[in-house]
Amino acid sequence: MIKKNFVAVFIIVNIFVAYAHAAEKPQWGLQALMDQLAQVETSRAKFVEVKYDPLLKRPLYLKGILKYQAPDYIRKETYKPFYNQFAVQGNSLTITREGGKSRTIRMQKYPSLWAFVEAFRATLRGDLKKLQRFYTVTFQGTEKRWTLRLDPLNRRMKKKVRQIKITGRNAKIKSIEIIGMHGDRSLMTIVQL
Amino acid sequence: MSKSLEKVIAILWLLVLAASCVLFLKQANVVTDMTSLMPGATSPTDKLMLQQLRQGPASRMLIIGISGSNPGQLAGFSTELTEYLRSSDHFVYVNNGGEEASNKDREFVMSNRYLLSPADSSSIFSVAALKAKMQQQLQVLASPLGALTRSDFVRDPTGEALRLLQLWSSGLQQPEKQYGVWFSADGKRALMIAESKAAAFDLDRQETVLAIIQKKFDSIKGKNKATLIVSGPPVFAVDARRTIRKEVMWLTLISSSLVLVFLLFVYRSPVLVLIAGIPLFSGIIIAALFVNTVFGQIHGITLAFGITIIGVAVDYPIHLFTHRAPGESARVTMRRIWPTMLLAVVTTAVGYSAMILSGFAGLAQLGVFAIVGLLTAALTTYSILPVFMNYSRAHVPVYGGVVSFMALMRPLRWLPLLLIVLSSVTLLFMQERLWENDIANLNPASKSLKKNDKLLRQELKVADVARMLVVEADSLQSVLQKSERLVPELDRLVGEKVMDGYDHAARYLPSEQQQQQRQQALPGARELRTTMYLALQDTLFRQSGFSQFIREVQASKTQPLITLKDLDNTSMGLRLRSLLFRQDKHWVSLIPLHGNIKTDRLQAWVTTMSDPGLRFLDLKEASNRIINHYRDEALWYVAIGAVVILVLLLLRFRSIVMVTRILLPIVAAELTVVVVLLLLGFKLSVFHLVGLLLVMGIGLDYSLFFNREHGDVSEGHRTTQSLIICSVTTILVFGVLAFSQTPVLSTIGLTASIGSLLCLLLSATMVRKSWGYAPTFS
Repeated sequence: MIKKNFVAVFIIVNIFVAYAHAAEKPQWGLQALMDQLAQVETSRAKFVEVKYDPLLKRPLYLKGILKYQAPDYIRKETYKPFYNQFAVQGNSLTITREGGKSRTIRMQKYPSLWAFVEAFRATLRGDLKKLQRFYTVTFQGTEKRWTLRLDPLNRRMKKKVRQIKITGRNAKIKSIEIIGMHGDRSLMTIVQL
Repeated sequence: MSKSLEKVIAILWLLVLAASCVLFLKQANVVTDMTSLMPGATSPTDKLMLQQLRQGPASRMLIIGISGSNPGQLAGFSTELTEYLRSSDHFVYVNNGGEEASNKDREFVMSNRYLLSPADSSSIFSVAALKAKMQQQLQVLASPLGALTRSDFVRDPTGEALRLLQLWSSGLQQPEKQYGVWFSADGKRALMIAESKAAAFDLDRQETVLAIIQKKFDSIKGKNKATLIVSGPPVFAVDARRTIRKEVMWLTLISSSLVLVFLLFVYRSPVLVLIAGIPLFSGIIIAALFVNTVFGQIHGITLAFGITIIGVAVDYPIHLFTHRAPGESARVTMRRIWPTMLLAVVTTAVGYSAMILSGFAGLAQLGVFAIVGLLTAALTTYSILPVFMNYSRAHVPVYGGVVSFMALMRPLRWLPLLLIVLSSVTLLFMQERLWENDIANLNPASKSLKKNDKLLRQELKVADVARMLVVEADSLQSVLQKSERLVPELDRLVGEKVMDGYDHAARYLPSEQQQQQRQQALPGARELRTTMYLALQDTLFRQSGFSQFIREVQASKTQPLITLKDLDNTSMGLRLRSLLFRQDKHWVSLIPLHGNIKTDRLQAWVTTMSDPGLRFLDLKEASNRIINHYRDEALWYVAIGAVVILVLLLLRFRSIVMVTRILLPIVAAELTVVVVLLLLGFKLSVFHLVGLLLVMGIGLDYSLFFNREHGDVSEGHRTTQSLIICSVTTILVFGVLAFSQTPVLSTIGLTASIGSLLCLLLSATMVRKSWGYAPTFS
């Protein structure tokens, strides 16, 4: 009796182990996500962003287009409720406001700004090393539904940004949430084109 | 005097010399600060300039470059070195561009923004302006940068603090940055600047500071191949001193060995060679000690120049040794030539004595040094040397070559006059480029150092701090008000491209009057709340979000005014301290001018302002002026000395022909040396002048001896031989110096050796026929 039971338990345990092993085999994790992201050469997406801030009477809705071109070009173009464009190439950030007035900043001059930009660019590029230079990176979830949590390391940025949360499916980013230190928060939902 | 007494005196003298030597080494206050050579600051501009040269931040600024590795690593080294140097006690200020603006700076600007900002309150706080600003800020807040700029926005929605920081840094070009620190444009070199606490002329401390930087860098980089270069005025000064010391040691060693070998060859007596140095050595020691006692200090330059111009004292023992006739006692020889030697010493000393009257401490010291040194050397030769000479051979035979030399030179009697005419004509034509007016060209720093410095300055985009406006007034407040009143004028000048930009103290510390005006112009709490309500009405912003802003504007209205002390520990405070200071009973505010400056128009503008408390100062021009003044003054006193020499010789000889015969070769030699130097491509400086002073002493010595009354032909030959030996010795000493890498040393060496040769040749043409060419001599 005891023996029979023991055999049954043994078999069950074995099946479990085997199953767990099989499930573990592809071992989809942070590095795998980064490798997959690194494969993407170019992407375009529509976004809707909601900005919550105690300063504002009601949340602010923004709409626009995102573009990424490997290895180092990213652009965020907002159409509504006003036009502006932020484009990063190499070390420089170019800001264009309504009316076409633009100015270019060398990001190296502003470490906190640079750290902020790399949260998106290094993620899109699958550059874990660079990401880890500026953030503590935590990975959660599965290939189909993952979340990256970025906690800033830069002293000055820490005072302003609590966390950046990026979610996605495979190599596609679904949302970016920036959580500020003063009750401010922005959530951007992204639809790939 | 009995022989034994003479010996006792001689030994005692040697003991006195040894004691003096020890005393000098122990007690002497040798100063190397160039500015202490200058006159006791006559004009306020000179005074200010000297103060700036001695203590100004530019004089202590070090530029540091780290290269030879990848940018990331270089940035790391730069940061680590900066942190270490800041924590050490040697620097006022160290910066590698590491932070956007330090937290202290930002906090100072933020909390004093309404007292510092030149913007007009009524326009900042109008409904329309606030509304426009808010709409604009909404875009920023909504942008990806929103999270980063939000906390500043809540405090300062109109962006006054940011505008101030931008305004303040606008005049100063910033170098490129990589990894958050300053880099050269090509990304190969990380750059830093540091201002040492040690004064520019405190070379020992500067040397220590430089060693500390290098040592720390070596330990930081470990085995990495990165290299460090440091430049700036202190590096130049320390390097120059090291080079000069090293060169002086080597050159002295070489030239004294050469002289030693030569004298041994001529006299074949170790004793004579050994004692030949005693008079010159006595002269140097006693003169240095004397100057140090009388003036309380002796300048390094006085010591160096002084030793040079009393170099003629080497001739005295040579005369004594060479003139000794067969079987003659040394004492008798000495008495025989003493009148001539004394005359040479006295005329030379008189020639230098005029310098004592100079207002330049440096020249007065030099005059005293020369006189005391020459007299001591002559007296030592007279009283001490004969005692020791008894231990050597009786006399020095005359070499045959001497006679041929005489035969060769005498027919050229017309040569001195011809040279005087030719040289004078040449000088007239070269008048324009006679003097070296830019002291930078006399800078003894090596070429590679100068090249590094230029490169680093370009890469770092260091502003030219040499030109400035000087504003003076009785009190701190009035000097600030005065420079505030200049602002519209200065802005107009920038607009008209008379200069590219400027900086001034009232920017960082507005006058109390100005601050109070700004406070009064700020809106009251109720007024501002109403304005904000109206401005925010049709926007997305809630008024409650800006309570901090309204509170801070109110606090600014009654906050204590900003004082000098408040700026301590900010980088503005450091800048302020160099721009604003007390001098005697006045307050001085400097307004450094940037970029291309149209000096003429600026000077004209200063004149039209017709304010004695406003002046234009060009540090480089002013320091050149002072050095050139030193030179001109030296020249003037030498001219006076020359007249005195002429009078003295006329009184002594009562014969114009005789005096002409003595002076003509000297004048010819001096003029020819000048022309030769110019033709070699040199321009004359104060260092040449020192060389020419030595030539004057040598020339007097040679001429007087060649024109000496003497009994027989063989004495004439002995004199000729003596002078040839003197000249060769001088040429050996100074000729070696001419090969120095240091411009100062090579200049003096070249001048003196050419001069000595010319003096010998030219005064030899002037000897009287009675010196004869007797076919026989002993």
